[in-house]
Amino acid sequence: MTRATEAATFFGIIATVYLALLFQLLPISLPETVQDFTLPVLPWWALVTFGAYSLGNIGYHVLTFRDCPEAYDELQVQIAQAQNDLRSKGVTI
Amino acid sequence: MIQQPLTPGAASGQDKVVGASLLTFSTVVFVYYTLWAIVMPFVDETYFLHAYFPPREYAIRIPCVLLVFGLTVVLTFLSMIMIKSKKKVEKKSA
Repeated sequence: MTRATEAATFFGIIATVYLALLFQLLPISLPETVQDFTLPVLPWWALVTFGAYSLGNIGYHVLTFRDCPEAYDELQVQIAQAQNDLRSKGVTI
Repeated sequence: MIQQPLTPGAASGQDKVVGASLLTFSTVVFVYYTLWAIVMPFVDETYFLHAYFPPREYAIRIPCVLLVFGLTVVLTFLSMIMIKSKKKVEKKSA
């Protein structure tokens, strides 16, 4: 199974279970508060959680990024060399 | 080119501030929203904590509005770039 198929199957199962509970298609009866308030809010909560997780992940990695000034200088030199090399061979940079 | 061993340092001061503020902001948003949307319906109406949250409908309206607004901005930006690149191709072949 490819990664895409795996992800699609996972979301498909979650979506099916969620919709079945939402439209009360299963013979299970949930507490009234859960059925009326929690279930409709769950997709939006998932969206907010995903957004917060993404932002937090970026923030965390920016915070703990290990900067390397020597690599930066070395890279700039290599970029200049590559540009000169390509220009000498006729590529417009 | 001689490969010298690179010693990574820490992120610069400003980067740290940006990273930390993003992290705390997202944590606060997550905790507040989880409390609002999931915990509050089970809490007795007279409890003091309810005063800190807007009415529950806004827990759905706000993400909905933000989603629509965000999608509009992103897709408009995308379409403008596609139109520009098509004009460039037409100009080049003209």
